[in-house]
Formats: sequence, C-alpha cells, structure tokens
Amino acid sequence: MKKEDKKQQTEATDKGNMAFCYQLGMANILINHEIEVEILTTSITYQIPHSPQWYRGMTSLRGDILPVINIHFLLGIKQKHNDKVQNSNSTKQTLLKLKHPDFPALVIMIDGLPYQTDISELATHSMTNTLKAYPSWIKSSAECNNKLYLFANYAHLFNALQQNDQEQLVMPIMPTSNTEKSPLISQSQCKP
Amino acid sequence: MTLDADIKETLAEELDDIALELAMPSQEPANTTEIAADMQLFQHLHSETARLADTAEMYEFEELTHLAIWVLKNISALKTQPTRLEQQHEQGHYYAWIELVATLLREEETDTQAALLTELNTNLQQSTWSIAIDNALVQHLFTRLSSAPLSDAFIASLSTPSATSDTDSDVDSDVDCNVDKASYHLAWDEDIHPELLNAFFIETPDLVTETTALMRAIATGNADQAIHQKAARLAHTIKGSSAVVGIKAIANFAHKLEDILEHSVESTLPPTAAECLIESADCLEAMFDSLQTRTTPPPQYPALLEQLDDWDKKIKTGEITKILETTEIAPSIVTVSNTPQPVEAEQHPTLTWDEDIHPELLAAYLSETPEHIQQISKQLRAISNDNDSAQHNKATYQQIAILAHTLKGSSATVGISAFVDIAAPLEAIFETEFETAKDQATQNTFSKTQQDLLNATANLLESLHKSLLSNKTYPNNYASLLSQLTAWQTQQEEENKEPIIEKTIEKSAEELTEEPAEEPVTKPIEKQDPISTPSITTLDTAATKEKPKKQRKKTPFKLPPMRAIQSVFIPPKVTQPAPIQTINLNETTLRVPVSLIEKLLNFSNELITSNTQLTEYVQTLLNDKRTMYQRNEHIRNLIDELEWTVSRQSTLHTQQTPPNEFDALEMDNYNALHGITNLLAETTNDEREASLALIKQFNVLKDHVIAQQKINKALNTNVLAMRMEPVTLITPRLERIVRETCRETHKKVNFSIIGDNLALDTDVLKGLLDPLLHLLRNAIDHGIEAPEIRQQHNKSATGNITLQFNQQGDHVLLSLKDDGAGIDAEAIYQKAIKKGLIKADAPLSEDEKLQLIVHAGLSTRKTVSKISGRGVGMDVVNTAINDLSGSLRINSKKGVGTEIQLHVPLTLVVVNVLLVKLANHMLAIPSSAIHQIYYLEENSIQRKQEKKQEQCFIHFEDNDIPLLSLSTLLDWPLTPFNNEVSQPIVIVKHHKMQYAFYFDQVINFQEIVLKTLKPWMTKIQGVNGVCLLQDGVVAPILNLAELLADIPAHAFHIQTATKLTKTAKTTTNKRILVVDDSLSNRKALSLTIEPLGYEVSTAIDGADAITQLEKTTFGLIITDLEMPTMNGLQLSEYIREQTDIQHIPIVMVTSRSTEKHRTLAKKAGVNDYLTKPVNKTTLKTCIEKFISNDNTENTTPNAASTNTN
Repeated sequence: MKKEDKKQQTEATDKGNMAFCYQLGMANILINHEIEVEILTTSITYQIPHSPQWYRGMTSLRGDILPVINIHFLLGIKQKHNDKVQNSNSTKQTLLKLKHPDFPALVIMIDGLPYQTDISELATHSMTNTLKAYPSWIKSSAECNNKLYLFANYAHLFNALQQNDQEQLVMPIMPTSNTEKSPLISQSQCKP
Repeated sequence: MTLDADIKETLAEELDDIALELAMPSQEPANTTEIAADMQLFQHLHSETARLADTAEMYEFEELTHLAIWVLKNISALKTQPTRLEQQHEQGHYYAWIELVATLLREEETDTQAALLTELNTNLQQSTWSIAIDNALVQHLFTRLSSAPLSDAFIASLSTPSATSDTDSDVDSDVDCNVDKASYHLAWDEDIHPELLNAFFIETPDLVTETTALMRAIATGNADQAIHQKAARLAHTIKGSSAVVGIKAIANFAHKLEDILEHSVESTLPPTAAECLIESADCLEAMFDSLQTRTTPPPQYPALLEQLDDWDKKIKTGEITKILETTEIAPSIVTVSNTPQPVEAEQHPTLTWDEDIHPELLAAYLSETPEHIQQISKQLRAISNDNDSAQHNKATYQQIAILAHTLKGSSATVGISAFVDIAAPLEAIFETEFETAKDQATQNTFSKTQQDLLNATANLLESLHKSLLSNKTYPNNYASLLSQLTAWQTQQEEENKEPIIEKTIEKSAEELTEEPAEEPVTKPIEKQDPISTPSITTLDTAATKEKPKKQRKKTPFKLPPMRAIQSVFIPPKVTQPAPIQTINLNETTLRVPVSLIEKLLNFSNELITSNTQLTEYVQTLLNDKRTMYQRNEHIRNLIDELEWTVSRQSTLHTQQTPPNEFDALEMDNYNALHGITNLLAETTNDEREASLALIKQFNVLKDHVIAQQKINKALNTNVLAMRMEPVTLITPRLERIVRETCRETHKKVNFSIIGDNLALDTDVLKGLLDPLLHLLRNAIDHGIEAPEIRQQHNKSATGNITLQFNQQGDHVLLSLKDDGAGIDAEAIYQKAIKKGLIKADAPLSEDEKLQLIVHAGLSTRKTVSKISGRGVGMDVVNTAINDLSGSLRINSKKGVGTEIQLHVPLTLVVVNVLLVKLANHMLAIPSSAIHQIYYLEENSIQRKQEKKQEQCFIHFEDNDIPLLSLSTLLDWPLTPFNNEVSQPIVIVKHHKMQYAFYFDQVINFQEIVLKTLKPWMTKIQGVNGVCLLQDGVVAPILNLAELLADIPAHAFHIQTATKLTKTAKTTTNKRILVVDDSLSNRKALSLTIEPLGYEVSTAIDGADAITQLEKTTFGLIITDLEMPTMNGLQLSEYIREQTDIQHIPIVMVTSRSTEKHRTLAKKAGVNDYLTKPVNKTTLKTCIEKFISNDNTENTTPNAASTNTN
C-alpha cells in the first residue's frame, strides 16, 4: 500500500475509526472525509447523446446541472436496477452527489444508501493482489466480515474523468480464466 | 533544450534579415533635420532589436530574448548621446553579434563553433557596451548555441575582466543598479500566498486602468490638482501591491511614475516628460496584460523605465526646473493652477449648480447634458482630426452651433456658468463659420492651431462635466482655453467688420507668417507651436516627422497674446454644495465574481422551475375542485328530485289516511323522511358553499403563483443583465494597440469606434478582445500604407480605421473597416494552391479566394514583422469567433481597403431554441441553425432509390430534399415517421445542402440559459451544452452543423408508415369503454381489464357513453343492461345506427340471465352476453375474441355469442 493510501486510512482512523461508504454490487466504496456528500432520491437523469459510456447523463440540483457518472460501468459491476436508458425520465434512482474541494460537484448512482462503518480493522485486512483487477483510481482494497471494501482516490478519478482518460478510468479487461478471482461481478459489462 | 535543424536554419535566416536591416542606415527624408535623423537612428535600432527579441521569443529561444533585451537597454542608455550611438552603429556594434549568432546556428563543426563563440564573447564583453553583460547569460547562450558541451577552460574564459562597464559613459552604473535584471521579469514570488495573489489580481487591473487614464489626462493638460494627486496616490498603491507579491518590474516602474506624478502636483512637467508619461501609461497597461498572460514585458519597457529613471533623477537634482526655464512650455500641459499665482487660485470657485434649482429640473439637465457634450466633443474632434480632406460641411457647423446653444441655455437655467462661458463663444464661432462656409462640403477651413484648440475644448467640456459630478473643481486649463476661444470669437467679429480687400491682404500676410508655426514637426516638442494640444483620437505618431505639404487656403487663427486671466475668466457664482441628495449622480458599483452571478442565475432558474411545477399543481387542484363542484351540483339536483318525490308521497299518504282535525291545506304533516332529506339538502348546500369558497381561495393562490412567476422571470432577466458589460470596457485596450502599432510601424491612423455604448455578455466581450486586437494590428501593419505611399496613391497621409458595433436582434455585427491597401485575393489563392490547401484547378470566385485567408499559414506578407505576417493569425481569429458561435466575413478591394465583419451573439448564455421531443427525450435546437419549420402535408413524401437504398424526400422550394431521422444521428434507436398525418418538420441548411428532420413532437421556441458541459464533458459531438427547462427537464442543446458533418448512411433510411399505421390502430383497439351505473362494478371491471394490457375508460350510463364515443375511438364496449337515463339496450341500438361507430363490438355484462333478455340484447346489436359475476378468465377470453380479431368480422350481430356462465 502506498504512503498516500495509508494516510487516507489513517485519516479515517483518526476521525473515530468510522467512515461512510456506499454500496455498488458486492463492493463497498469508502468516502474520503474531504468529500462532501449529498443523497439525492428524487433526481432524474437525462441522457446526453454521444457522451462517453461512463456518463449516464445529466441531472439538475437546485439549478445546477451535474453529470451523472456510471460508476458501475467503470468498475464493471452489474447494476441492481435494470433502468431504461432510453426512457430515463420514468426512472428515479438513488444518486450521490460528491464534491471534492478541487473539482466541481458530480453525481454517481449507487445501489444503496450510504452507511457508516468501522474501518479500524480494514488496514490489517488490506489486499494488494487483487488491485490489478480494478481501475487505477482504486488504490487499495480490504476484505472484512465477508465484505469487500475499496479505497478510491477520488482526485485521481475526477482528474481522469476530466481528461477523458479511458485507460485510467475503466477497469482493465481480465483474462477469462481470472474472472472467478475478480471480487466484482460482471466483466462482460466492461467493454469500453 | 536544443533547436532542431529546420528551426535553426529559419531562425538564422531571420537573424540575417534583422542584422541586414540594422546594418543599413535608416532612410531619411531629404529635408530631415539633424535632430530628427538622430532620433530616427535610435528608433531604427530600437525597433529592429525589439523585433529580434520578439523573434527569439517566438522561437522560444529564451537566452537570445534576454540578450536582445540587454542590447535594447544599451541602445536606450545612449538615447541622449546620438553621436556615440551613431559611432557604435557604424562600428557594427549592434548587428555584428547577430551575424555571429546566425553563423553559429548554421555551423556544425565544433572547432569552428568554438572559434565563433570566442569571437562572439569578445564582441559581447566589449567595454564599449554601456551596460555590462551578465556572464551567466553568456554562458547559457553559448551552451544553447554549442552542439558540444563547453569546456571548463572556455567557461572560465567567459568571465575575463574585459567585460566591464564603461565607467566613462554618461550613463553611469547607477542605471544598471536601478534597472537590475530582476526588473525585466514579470513574475511574482513563488511563495506568495494564493489569496494574497488573488487579491492583487482582483484589485490591480482597475487601479492600472484608472491610473493610466489619469496619466493621459495629466499629459494632455486636462487634469486639475486633485487628479495629479490621485494619480500619484494610485501609482503608489500599484507600487506597494506589486512589491508585496514580488513583481519587481511593475513595482520599479510604478515607483518612478509615482515620483514624477508627485512632482507634477506642484510643478509643471516639460513636454517631453508628458510624452514619456503617455508612453508609460500604455506600457503599464501592456505590462499588466503580459503579467496576466505570463509573457515577457513589452519591448519598450526597458527604455521607458530608464527614461522615467532619468526624469526622476532630474526631479531630484532640480535639473527639471532648468529644463522648464529653457523650454517654451506647450500649453497642452500647462495648467492654470500650476502657475504660481495665488490670486488665480482664489478665482476657482466650486463648480456646481444653483442651490435653489428644482430637483426635477436638475435631474432633466443631468440626464440630457452628457449626450449634448458627447455630441459636441465628437463633432469638434472630427473637425480637429480632419487634416486636409473635406469631410465636414455647413451642416456640421450648424449642428455644433445648435448644440452649443442648447448647452448654453440649459446650463444657464441651472446656473452652471462654466458651461455657459465655454458654450457661448463656441456657438458664436460656429455660427460665423456656418454663415461664411460654402454650401456643401468644404476644404478644411481651420488652421492646425484652431484644430488643436477645438480638440482641447472637446476635452475640456468632458472634463468639466466629470468634475461637475465628482470633485466640483475646475480643470486647470479652463481659463486658458476660455480666453483662447473668446479671442477667436473676437477676432472673427473684427474680421467680419473689415472690408473684403483688406481682409484678403491680411490673410496672405498671415499665411506667410504661419509657416514657421506649422513647420516644426521634426523639432523637439518644446519648440512646437505653443497652442498645439495632443490629439486624443488621432493616432498620428509620425506627425512629428512630417512637414505639412498643403498650404492653408483660409485665414488661420492667429493666437493673440495671452490676456490676464482675470480679464477673460468670469468666475461662476460661488455657491454652497447642493444639498439635493435625491439624485444619484455617481452610482456606486460593486465587484462581484462571475461565479457568484452564475450561482444566482442557477437559483433563479430553479425558482422558475419550481414555480412552474407549483402552477401546474395548483391548476390540477383547481380542476379537481371544479369537478367536485359539478358533482355537488348533480347531487343537489338529485336531492331536489328526492325532496319532490318525498313531498308527493307524503301528500298521497295524507290523502289515504283518515281525516283528522286539520285539512292538508291547513297544516303540513312531516315524517322522518322529510327531516332527513331536508338535512341532506342543507348539508349539500353547505358543502357547495364551502366548495365555492375553496375555488375562490385556489384562484387567489393561482394569482399569487402567477405574480411570483412574473417576478421570477424579471429576476432572471436582471441576473442575466448583470453579465452584460459595455463595449467601452475594452475600447481603451483597442485604442492602445492602435497607438502602439502606429508607433512601431511609423504609420498614421485615425481610429474611431462607433456604437460602443452597446452591452455584450462578459464572455463574448472577453472572447472578442483578442481577435479584435489581432485584426487591428493586421489592419495597421498589413492594411494601412506608409504615409508617403498613401500620398502617392492620392490618399490622405493618415489612414482611417473604423470599428462599428451594430446590434441586429440578438446578435451584434462588428465591422472593422480600413482604407488601406486591401487584400490580394489572387495571392492568397496561389499560396493556398502552393500549400496544397486547395486543388490548382479549383474554380473559386473572388470572394471565395478572400475567405481562404482564414486557413492557417496563409499570410501573403513577404517578410515577418514582430506585429504580423506569420500567417498564424486569421485562422486563430476565425477559431475564436467560431468558439463564440459567431461567423467571420471578409470584404476587400485591392488598393481601396478591407472590411472584416464579425457576427456574434450578444450573449452565449441565453439562446433561442426550438424544443422538440424525440424518442421520449426533450431536445433543444438553436433557432439560428433552423432554416424553416415546414408543415408537411400527409402522404407527401417521395421515395427514391439512392446509393442502393431507398431514401425519403420531401418537395421544398422546388427541390427534393432528404428527410432524415435525427435519432439516428444521435445514435438512438430509429423513430418511425408517420406519413399519414400532417406534421411540422424542420428544414436545416448545411454546406449548400438542405435536410429535413422529423420529430415526435415540435413544441415551441423558447429562450433558454445555456449551461456548459465542461469541465466534465468536452468536445461531445453535436452537443453545445444543456439547458434546464421550466418543468425541470434537462435538455441537450444540439449542434446540427456538427451532426450533419458526418451523416451515417442509415440515417436516410426511415421506417415505413404502413407498419406505423397498424401500430396506431392496435393502440386504438386496445381502448375499452366500460358502461355501468354502479361505481363498484365500474371499478371492478377496470381493475380486471387494465392488468390485461388494455386502456379503460368508464361511463355512468348510456348517455355518458355516447358523449365519450364522440370524443374517443374505442376498440370494445362493455355495458350493463339496466342503467338510468339510457340503458344498455338503447345504447347498443344507438351505436348500431351510427355509421362511424357501428363497427365497435359490444359485450353486455348483466345480472339478468333469462333467454328473454339475451334475445333482446341480440336484437339490439350486442355481440356477446355475459352474466354477473364474471371471472377474469371469462372476461379475458371474451375481450381477446374481439380485440385480437378483425373488427369487421365481429361487429355484425350474427357473430355474437353467448356465455353460459
């Protein structure tokens, strides 16, 4: 684990060992303390033609128009809801607005409401061997109580999104034989 | 970093060119004086070396840039020693080293390189250089030039003591100390706190703008003591703030300026210092621009800094006083208050209006006067700038006289005598001119002196007005100008009294005496005609070098000896400051970040969205309440009937019962039923009243919501207006670039801006600045010819450039016209062929050839100057204008001039779009992209076989144009086109082609606020941004031009209408009407049928069913038998009689199961008969029997079957 990631975990530990995380498929992604979060339950996503695959569309929040990131696609996770992309007006999902101090706000779609978790033990359960299965903005992972936790470098993710850097953003395509090792669900989704 | 071979060769060629230019003596006109020749040499060396600095910068050869700047410093240091400058020039001091650098760039042999480097080192380290070179710079330069690493021995040899400054030089080492190397770097300290730096960048631009404006006013003599003090204070602030963030270059510059400006508060500046002040103002602005763009300081900076330093020294040593004593002071910079006359100071009362003026009268005066002053000043400047062409006529004189008269009258009404005193002689002068002038266009009747006086008067009027609104003090040159105007008026009056013969003789005599005054253009400014005042709008930088060639035809104004101020200056009435506070004379402004306005705009949009939704909810509630009211009315009617029935039954009952003591007419008898019906009627009545009150409340609520909607829209409009900025904000920058380019190119230009009161969105204005600066530079450098060439072509020596802003709806048309040499369209065409941009046989019209100039690398200029000619300009301008959603058009005629038209939107934020619905998505299409919305008749598309596939076309304006599916262009599933209905389609023009697009629904045109997709999504093909609609929907704003640039072949293939019609019919068939008087039965049937995938409507009886059948088409009717008003049998009989609906199958669902009822139903035209209760399966089977089969087969009564349930 890199020094930076350790710092991230230590930071979480310093703040009472508790951190918020949200669920995506089987994975639980931790939210850094520096990120402001807002849960949106009634927002509608509107599709933008010709936008990259990792964008679900745009949504409006208090007059701001924010992009909705298809984070499931980035991580190769099958979505819980089989929402109709072509008729997104009729579908309302649980969205999470993320605001990093160095970037404008954006929105991701999640599979469940964020919850608090004790991460004091995560550092001791960190796994480095599975990191190759994630996009580069996932900096570390840990498995604890049969739950998979992922530590994301949001600045890295947001930067790659702004740069439209597909290599950095999207989960690498795994060889067929390795799929059973992947902690996340579907590889078939990941065809950037 | 090393230079690659190609760049080395190109750079070497450019260096050779510069060295050659430097080696050649500057061309001097035959009649040039010695002083002018010296000045010309200095300027020649300075401009060519500055070009070298620019070239090096362009090639990112930093060391060479610094070296060129060092040479510039050396040249500037010898500005006051022309003999030495000439001597060094003759010795090849300023170009020999450049030739060596050029040779080194070409040389590949390391041994030869070493020899050349040694020679170059010797050259640069010569003691004859006024300022010694920095060894580190030499070392870096040599490392860059050498292909092999430099040996230690060689590096050691660089620091030989031969490189010493010239101690004998008049330019002592002091200069070098003051103007140290750090001062040439425009950068702030690395460790500066970002907030501090941010504060500096927020505060300083305005300070710089204000300071430079004041400096120009001071230099042109239009400043009073307060302005002098303010300018010094502002320079001090700039110095301090720049020093805090470590920008030494600006701090040093501002420091020198502060000293000079402080000195100017109490003393007069010599004309040369005033000239230096104007150049410094330009330079200070340019420096701040360079700082913001992180580029190097302007090339004139070192020289100007040294000049300022020189003046500073002269102030400190008192030498400046000697200069003033020996100089005949130009009145342009003489200020009355600067003259130490205590009596005069007392003559300056407060500039204000009468105390007892009615506020409304004053308000009217203050609102109309600025326009009058602006018009007079404009006309006066037009005359003063008009050197030798006949551009004004009697009408102009008359207009000035009228305006002056109006100003005089209105000012007298409010008691502002300062304007009255100036306007009176002005009116008289122009009335006389009007009377004596010929009927139409005339030759310029004013002498240079008079023109200068008129120009100064224009400035004075503006200064007076500014003072009136601010500090209420008189401009310092007020008395002087007033006396000159009065003298002119007096002279005119006297001339008019003289006999004609005498007048003619005197004119001739004066013409002769005028010569010396007109001649001295090449003399130092100190020796010029004392009344000449620098023109503000005429950018005549070469005026000091040129002798006027035309003789004046009319009597020039002979300046009378200056009279005592007291005799000409009638002090206005001294009044106390006006106590009126109701008029906002100087509205305060507040600086707000654009991001905050963006947020405000977002909230304002959100308010509109939520308000629209609220309006819709209120309307729905109101509709529901109205429905309830109608039902209530129905209940009331029923209760009335009930009351009547109960009453009747009660009467009958009374008649049947044995008689008692009272007759029925004598006393009413009531039973319990009476009581209940009365109670019911009262309750219903109460409910009705409550219902009415509620509707009223809802209406009030609706009114409030609508009022709020209006406020929200007004708020939105105002927030958007906050983004609008006047064009005047950028005009100083434009004027400066013209001045600077004129200085550099030695050309003369009259630059006028028309329509600069227009306001544009801040983003558009900022986006326009760079293209305009570039176009102006081009216009002067490429377009306007040198004065002598212009005269050879029978043009005035001064070129004209006009920039006009014209609003055209929601767009603005900028027109930049010059009367220069024009563009050689053929040369561009040939170059484009040579560069392979077009084919040699491509037939292009003259206009098309001209438009080729917007391609990169198409400069037709043979030589590259530091201003333009590299062919990397017009394409950048074009791109910048395209980024603003604008367009560029060029019109040019060789030898006559060029006009460049820029058509840009007033704002990028508000866009007029057509909202359409496609594949369940709302889309916004900018109205500017739409050629026409065309109403297409049904079945009017034509099918043709094109490129091996069937394509659809519509006939429009005598052409068959392809019909396209936009959903295909957006990579969405194909949406079918319904050919069987008339519908609006959108016609779009793209590259001489026309296309028609169809949509599910064309909604309406709307003004929307465009939101960018940046920074997350960039360069999304075919999408300009998004907008938030009033109902909260986010719609993408399409860029049809981009989408049409790459049309996929399948976009032309659209789905056939036959299939669509069938789908439409299927939809109609799936609609079922349930008719039953029982609510429970209706509900139960609906709940059973709807899950089967059918659309259900209900009716309470036969009559209600008929009403619904008139409005909607149904695939099946399920009806009860017994119902009030009209039963099921009557309904069936009615339907079978109607030709348009008789085909609809009818199923009767009833509790009557006898054969008699079935027979009656069959006779009435019922298709099927089900007895209650009906289970789901039976009902489903029955429905599917009718809806899945063809209607015609099953609608006949014979086809009806019966259910045995």
